[in-house]
Amino acid sequence: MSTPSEAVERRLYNALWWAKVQSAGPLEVPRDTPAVALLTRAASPDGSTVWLVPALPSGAGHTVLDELGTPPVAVEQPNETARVLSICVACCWTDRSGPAWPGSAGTLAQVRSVYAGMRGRPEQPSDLTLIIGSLRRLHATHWLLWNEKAGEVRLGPRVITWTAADQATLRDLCRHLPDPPPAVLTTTPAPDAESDSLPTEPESPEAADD
Amino acid sequence: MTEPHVLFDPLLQDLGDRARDEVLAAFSAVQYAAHPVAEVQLAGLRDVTLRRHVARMLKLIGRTLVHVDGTHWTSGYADDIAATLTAQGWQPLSVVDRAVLVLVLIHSVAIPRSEGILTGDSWKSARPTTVDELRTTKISGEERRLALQRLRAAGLIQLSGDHSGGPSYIPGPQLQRLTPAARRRLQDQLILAAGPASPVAEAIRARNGATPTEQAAERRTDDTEGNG
Repeated sequence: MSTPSEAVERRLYNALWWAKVQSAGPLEVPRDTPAVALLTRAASPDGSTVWLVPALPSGAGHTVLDELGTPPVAVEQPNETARVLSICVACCWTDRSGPAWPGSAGTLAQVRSVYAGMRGRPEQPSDLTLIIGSLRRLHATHWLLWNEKAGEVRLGPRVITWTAADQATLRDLCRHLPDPPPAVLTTTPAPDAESDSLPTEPESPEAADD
Repeated sequence: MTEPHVLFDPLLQDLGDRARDEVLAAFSAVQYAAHPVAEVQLAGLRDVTLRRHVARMLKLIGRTLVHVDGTHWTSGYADDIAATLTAQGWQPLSVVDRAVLVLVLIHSVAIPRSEGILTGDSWKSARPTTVDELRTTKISGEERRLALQRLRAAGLIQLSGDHSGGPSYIPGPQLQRLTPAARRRLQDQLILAAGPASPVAEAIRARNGATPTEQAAERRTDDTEGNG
């Protein structure tokens, strides 16, 4: 049994960590960081650190918003962003007999190739702008870990919250996407000619999102 | 509900199934909806006893209920938690993002408020800040574009509907999550930055001087919210 003051300290510890992940998103912390209630731990690929990811039980999550007809915070270019996330799942979740996290590293070249294949046409100049914008958005929200210098992408710690049913849906989705070409990873994160000239989305993001 | 709620169980166990569902729905709505939720929409917000349970759940994760316009509710960081984190130097926004956000707040809220166009202490405003007003020699165009993208994604700013002079921005829905004390701190900080020699700034310093710890914390405070 913990003493009352230990219980108070424990509550403050939980509240402070929760405030941190709500303000900054999932956090990468040393492995020996004590557990925080309802923050799931996702071990980083090399096992040296863990990510703390909010994992509220169903009923306390965002599903109630659909029932209320109240929108959550809007995602810009939602369709493009979802498309790029699904492509990254196909590229980075190579062993689909196991969980999606941590998956393996994929490359921008793979993402571009699957994107063009998904559209059923050769790559267009505007594709790269849309892809990079989506990768940055998904990186900022921790659905992906996007290393812009190296042109490499991994699944982000938030994917640890995907349930078995979510993973079954995504496995099925991956089967419908074109197969990515083999990943050619750079061992050192030296910027290549391509990453030097990565495009930025225009100041107004209201381009058509079909 | 068959899943264990670990953190929330002690609060929820005495409630009947229906009351528990109402409390969870209200908790989720104030936490995840982009905008404040109408009190009439949810029993968990309408009923004072149920609302007290929602407030207790929020407290466990460092949050508190914020009443908006007398008819709506949202959640924000509890003042004691925000003060502790800022005293620890916690700051999830980069300096460029904060600078761009402050420029939007100055043009969209602080200036109209000083002109008497905006009243009250809300950080909501329909007065757009244009890209021209965001230009500064200290931030490159590329840095500004990336900062705007991150601030929009975090709900701290949003595009205004007025496109007559190109894209322009207004404060985002997250600003409505500020508690009354946080709104006051943000206003104080802007006054201290814009007119440090003004009598109002002097009064703010005198008021803060009463509690030196709070003053130290406030000096580093950025009362804005992330994309939690």
